[in-house]
Amino acid sequence: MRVAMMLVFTALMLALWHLAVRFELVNRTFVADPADAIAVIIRQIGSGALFESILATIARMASGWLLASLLGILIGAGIGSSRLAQQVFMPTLEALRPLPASAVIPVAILLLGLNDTMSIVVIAFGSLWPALLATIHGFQSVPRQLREVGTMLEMSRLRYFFTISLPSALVDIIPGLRIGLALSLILTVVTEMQASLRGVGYDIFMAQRLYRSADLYAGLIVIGMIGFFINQLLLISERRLLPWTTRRVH
Amino acid sequence: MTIAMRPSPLSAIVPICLLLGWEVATRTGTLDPRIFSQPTAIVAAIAEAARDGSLIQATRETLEAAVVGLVLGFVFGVALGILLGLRTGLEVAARPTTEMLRSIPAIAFTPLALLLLGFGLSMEVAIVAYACCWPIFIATLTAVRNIDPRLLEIASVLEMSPQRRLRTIIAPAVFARVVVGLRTAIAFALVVAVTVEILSNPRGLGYALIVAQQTFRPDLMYALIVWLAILGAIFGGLSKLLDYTRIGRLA
Amino acid sequence: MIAVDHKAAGSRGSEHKVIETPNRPPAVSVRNVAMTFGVDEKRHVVFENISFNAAKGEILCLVGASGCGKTTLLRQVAGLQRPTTGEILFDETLITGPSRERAMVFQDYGRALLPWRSVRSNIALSLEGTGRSKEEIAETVTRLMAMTGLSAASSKYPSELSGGMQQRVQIARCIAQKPKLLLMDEPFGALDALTRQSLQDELLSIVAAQKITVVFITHDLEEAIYLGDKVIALGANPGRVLADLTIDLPRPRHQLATREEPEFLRMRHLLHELIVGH
Ligand SMILES: Nc1ncnc2c1ncn2[C@@H]1O[C@H](COP(=O)(O)OP(=O)(O)OP(=O)(O)O)[C@@H](O)[C@H]1O
Ligand SMILES: [Mg+2]
Repeated sequence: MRVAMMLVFTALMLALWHLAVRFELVNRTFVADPADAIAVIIRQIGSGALFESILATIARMASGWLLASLLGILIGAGIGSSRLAQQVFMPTLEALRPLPASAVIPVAILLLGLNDTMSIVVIAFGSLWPALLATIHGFQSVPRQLREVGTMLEMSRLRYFFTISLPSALVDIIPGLRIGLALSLILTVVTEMQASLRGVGYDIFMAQRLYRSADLYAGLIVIGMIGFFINQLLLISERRLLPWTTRRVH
Repeated sequence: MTIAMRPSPLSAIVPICLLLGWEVATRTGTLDPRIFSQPTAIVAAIAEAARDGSLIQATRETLEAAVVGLVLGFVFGVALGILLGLRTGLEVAARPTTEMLRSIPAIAFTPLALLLLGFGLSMEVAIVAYACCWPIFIATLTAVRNIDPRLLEIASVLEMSPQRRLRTIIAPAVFARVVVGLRTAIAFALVVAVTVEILSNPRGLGYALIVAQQTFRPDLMYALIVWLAILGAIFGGLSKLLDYTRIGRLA
Repeated sequence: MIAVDHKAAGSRGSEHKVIETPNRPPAVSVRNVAMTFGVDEKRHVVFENISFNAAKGEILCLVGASGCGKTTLLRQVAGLQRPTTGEILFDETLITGPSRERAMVFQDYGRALLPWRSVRSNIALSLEGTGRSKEEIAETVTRLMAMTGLSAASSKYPSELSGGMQQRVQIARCIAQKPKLLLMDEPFGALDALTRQSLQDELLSIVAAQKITVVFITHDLEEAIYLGDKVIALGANPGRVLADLTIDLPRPRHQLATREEPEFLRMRHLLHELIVGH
């Protein structure tokens, strides 16, 4: 029933869009027929070009995000579990945080040029913040009782880290990583457009340059799909990694 | 988000070391000043840009787009959220469409907006509005969903007109959550506006930034970045303020 | 301080009584302990002049008005805090920090369990890193779960358990570490009457079998008498020992019979007058 409703509504929207283009209610050079956009996608699947673009985009995004997540968790764990480190670093981090991530693009271009390294550095810089701040917060807010359980059992620092503070902080870290991933997709698209790097973002950019509106819409659909599936994937792994947060009776 | 900390003299160590190290390294030539500039040169560049009015002009253009986009996105997000929140069937049916649209990063629409609207304020506003409307839509939707059904039943029993229902029942119940969505949107607005400018739109601070880079003015480039961080902090402060006033009113 | 020499009042002896002799040192010895917070005008004396002993294998209950410093005192015995003055000895050595010999059952069980671990591995926590093999740990945990009635809940998360079950997990975790001393801060305070009674009896049988010394805080005077070999009544502002009472009730104790004993009722009156009637 729900699925049928979804299908009907989606078909209806597509039909309206199609008819609006068909009867020239909108300008064809600007608004493509959805049928044409889908035809473009199918053609690109056939030629393998779509697969190549998607792969390039995902590889770039994943590298930046993984780098950021790793750094964010490592640095965040260090800062979050030491009061001294917090006093030394937090004010500086707080001052840097409001900087829009895309503002570092010119710096990265100046330092590294228009290439993949630049793109990955920018993506990593942008998605570092949510991972880092979430990790610091997670380590700061280990409940006092749990810390004392560790003390009473005379745990070593290492054991305490792995059995108490890290799992406790995961509840904050994982949503932080998810936000970071959403940001990394955005920055991937931006840097691809800015530096003309092969990928879905670049495809969209070129489609506009060449006034090929069907290609442009096709690219938007593909980016939407990537965003959607990646978010679903992370929501599922969040549930897997934090099973105790969802299986709740009270 | 983070636990409040008393200011400590230790906090000054990192920024002072960074700035001093930067200044010294560029003066001795360890770092190339044509790429890294110098803290003193950056301060001078800010002062210069503030004096000749270019900074104020660019800031006005960026803020114009951010604020207008935010307002449009807010209106659209709230309207859509209330509509779909009250019509459960419609919301379920529309979910693939909304999820799909929500998954497209607003920035990816830059080429399309350019095609449809050309360079200028309107394309930037459209993209900012698109980015801002989703967190507000989601917040409104969940807020409307969580209205006690009994309240809506009372409204039906009293045969309230839709306007009255909106004013006396829906709006108060929804308000608090929508503010949370609005805070996210405020954070988005400035970032998205600047990004669109960096990417293509020849106006505002983002464009000034990319021009500074391309004309080999690293001092101006870093100056603009510092200025953007300050603006970002002001936006963040505004959204915090919103939270306090909300708490104040409810208390 | 009202010294109540209960034995001199002539009461019937109990065969299970732990005999305190001068040549057998007490397990816990609190000597002239005081605790103050703040300095100068803000100085706040939580308690002072606190002295008492608990013999090996004895259950010592601390009762007293809210705020008289029971939790603070217990944390000092645990080694989580240090007293301002005075000293606390365990097995004749000064307590300077926490130790695995002393286990602490925290009051809010909800927050003292690791929410990401099942019942089984929450209990196993106190055995990990002690050089025991996986099989050995699993075996001990299984035995403890059977003992505390947790077997059916073995793979559940704490959030899926009732309060009573959560507190059972915490007790099992503490017993697993084979402590010589068990410290309990109002462990049953938030539970319903029936659950509380069954946990009281479970605690008594476990502690008797393992010969663990217990320091038990409670607000409930009857609970203190029912469980204790000894009850220390504390007064507030500042906290001090009002009475050090020996409970001469036969063991094993029984929820109905013990509570109907004339001695039980006499103790209840005495404590009530000491603490509430003040
Ligand atoms: N860190 C601290 N700083 C200042 N005062 C404290 C601190 N910890 C405890 N106190 C004070 O010490 C007193 C005793 O606290 P404690 O929690 O030990 O009492 P309690 O007897 O356990 O009370 P309850 O029966 O309510 O649990 C209280 O007045 C409390 O305000
Ligand atoms: Mg207490």
